[in-house]
Amino acid sequence: MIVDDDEDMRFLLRAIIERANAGLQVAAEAGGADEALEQWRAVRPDVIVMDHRMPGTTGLQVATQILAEDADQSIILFSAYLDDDLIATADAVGIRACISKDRYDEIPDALWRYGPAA
Amino acid sequence: MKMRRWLPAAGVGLLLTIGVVVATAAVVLGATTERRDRYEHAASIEADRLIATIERHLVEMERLALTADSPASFRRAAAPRVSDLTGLRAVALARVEDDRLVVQTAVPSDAGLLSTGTDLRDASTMDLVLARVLTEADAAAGAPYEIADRAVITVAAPVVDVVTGAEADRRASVRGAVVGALDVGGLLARRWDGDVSLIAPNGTPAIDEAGPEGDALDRVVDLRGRSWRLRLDAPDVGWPTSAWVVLVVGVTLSAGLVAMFHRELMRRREAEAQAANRSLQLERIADSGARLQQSLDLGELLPAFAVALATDFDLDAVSVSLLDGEGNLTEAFASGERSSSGATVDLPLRRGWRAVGVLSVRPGRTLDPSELTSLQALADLLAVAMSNAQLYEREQLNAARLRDLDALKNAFLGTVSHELRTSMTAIMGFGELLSDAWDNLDDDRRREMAARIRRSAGSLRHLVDDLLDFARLEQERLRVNPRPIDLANTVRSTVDGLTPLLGQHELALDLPDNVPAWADPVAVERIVANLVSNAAKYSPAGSTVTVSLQPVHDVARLVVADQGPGIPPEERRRIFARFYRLETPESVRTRGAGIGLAILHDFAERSGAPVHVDDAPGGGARFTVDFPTRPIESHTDLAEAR
Repeated sequence: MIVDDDEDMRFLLRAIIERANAGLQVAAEAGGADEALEQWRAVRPDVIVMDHRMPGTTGLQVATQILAEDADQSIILFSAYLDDDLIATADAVGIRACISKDRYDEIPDALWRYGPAA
Repeated sequence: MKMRRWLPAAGVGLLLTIGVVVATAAVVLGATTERRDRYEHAASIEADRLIATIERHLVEMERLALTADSPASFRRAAAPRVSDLTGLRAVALARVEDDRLVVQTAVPSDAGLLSTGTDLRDASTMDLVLARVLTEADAAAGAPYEIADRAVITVAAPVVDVVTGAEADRRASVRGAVVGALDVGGLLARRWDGDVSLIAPNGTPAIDEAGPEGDALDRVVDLRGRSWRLRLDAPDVGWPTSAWVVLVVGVTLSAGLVAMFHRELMRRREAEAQAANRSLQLERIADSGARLQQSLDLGELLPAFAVALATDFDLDAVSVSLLDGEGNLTEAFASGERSSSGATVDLPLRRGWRAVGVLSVRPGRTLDPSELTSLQALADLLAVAMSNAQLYEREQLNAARLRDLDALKNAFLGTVSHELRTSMTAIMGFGELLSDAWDNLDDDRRREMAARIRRSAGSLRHLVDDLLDFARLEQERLRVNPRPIDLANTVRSTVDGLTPLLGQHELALDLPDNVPAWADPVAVERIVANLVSNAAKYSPAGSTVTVSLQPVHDVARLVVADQGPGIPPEERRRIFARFYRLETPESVRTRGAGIGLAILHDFAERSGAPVHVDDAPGGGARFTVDFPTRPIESHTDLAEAR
């Protein structure tokens, strides 16, 4: 599941994942926190690729809420602006990995690594 | 306390009194001794004079006795003596008749004492050897010696036929006697101012001349072998004048000295009390001053100061009022009984020569001048402390503002980095997909990706423009170069280039053909771009952003309206501040660095074009920018500055 407030980013991630053509499938997309929680509860994806900096509620806050409900949910934080504090906090709340947006091409591999087989 | 104050003066007074008494006593004693010595001397003289007087009269009587042949010759001889001898009252010639001594004749003849026929004494007792001196005791035995109520002594000389030879023969030859009544007492009394008495050898008083009594001076007078006692009283004349002078001068001096000493003592006591009071006031000032240094928080400082002041100076109420910018006094703090009666003392709080407030105290009593001085000193200290506290508060606010600004800048940097990277990622990602998977993509897919690249590049360009403008704005290097332009044309061309920013919004233009204005096209472009971008950002997708332009009076009015939630009136002045972002639910769901409106406002200001915000007729925000149509003064200034 892809969560990002930027529609271009969602489109790009979907295109990259589809292009990888390795059995990966985008189950859902969400442009904000509320929509993300709603979609997650409906779809229960294997992995969530979550943007951090979104207007209103941040990706980290949404991830924390999801992990509170299901600690086993695999979440990858996908942010344009990562610093040590953010990575440490993400690790503490149980996020599996943090990937910078300029390394979008690592997403398919990460999905496999932190997906259901992990 | 009052009793103890008097003790030293009383001690000095006692000492001086003792001194005066001693001096007076010494003077009195000296005078008394001198007086006694003087009387002693006089008494000796009087005793000698007495002896001489009696002796002289006896000799006279003896002479008369020798020559008294007959009464007639006696009277002739005696008369001049009675008149010559002072004190000799009378002289008589007596003859012996049957052993009795009877007066034969007397001078003067009417002298009661010695009148003719008077029986004087038993002739057998007549002292023939020595003249006899009769006394009052003799008179009591039968002889009337009184002369005019005065006691006298009588001296007698025997008239004998045989002058020499055996006593028996001489006694047997006594024929009579010459008797003189002598007023010795009167003589003595005239010269002696005290009591005078003469005691005969047989112990009976011969004379007692009454006078003032006093110290008795006894003298033994030896008269022809028989001792008489003369007693003279030295009269007590009281204190001599010198003693009174000493006493009066001494008492006056003592009183003067005691008064001087007391006054000096009081002066010193008062000086000591004043010094103690000054010390107390200084202590209070130092204590309160130290207390004022303990805090820079007015909320703590004023109550602590007021309570300490009320305690130290026993005040009913204390309040502090401060002058605001318009010269009105506003109470900053008050303590104590507001309802208590009594006068209030207002002390100015001064900073330099300027009053910044008032310290009001209600003492409930009269303050002395030193307390008022201390209170004013404390008011000055309070003014300084308050000034320090206000400066500190201002510094704290500035520090907080700087911290907030720092936080805003950090947030701004994070947002900008995010926006840059997001747009860059989109461009790179779609570019990579197009180049790597070109053959696998259909035309629609390729076009869509290319459009997304263009849109991201547009966003990127807008963001970079904003950043560059912001950097210039920060460095005060933002310049406008106004000139006559067709504002409609500039707005139109700007809006055409904003398509990527509009996203899913509709754009409605209302632009006349030619609207002349006095503006810099670059500034107009940035103003329009930021207004349209802002409208698109804060209004829902699918809504319309309207851009209209029309000449109104002497301005060219640009209006950009959206159909979003609008801007609350209370926020309208702040939205142009740097990094400021609305806290409405709509705005927190929107990205933004908080610099777009600040940039447009700065451009508008430098273009002499006021910006106004209000509600659009159908709801949403409406920004109005009035561009000038001819050069204005600020432009001239800018040109000159350049």
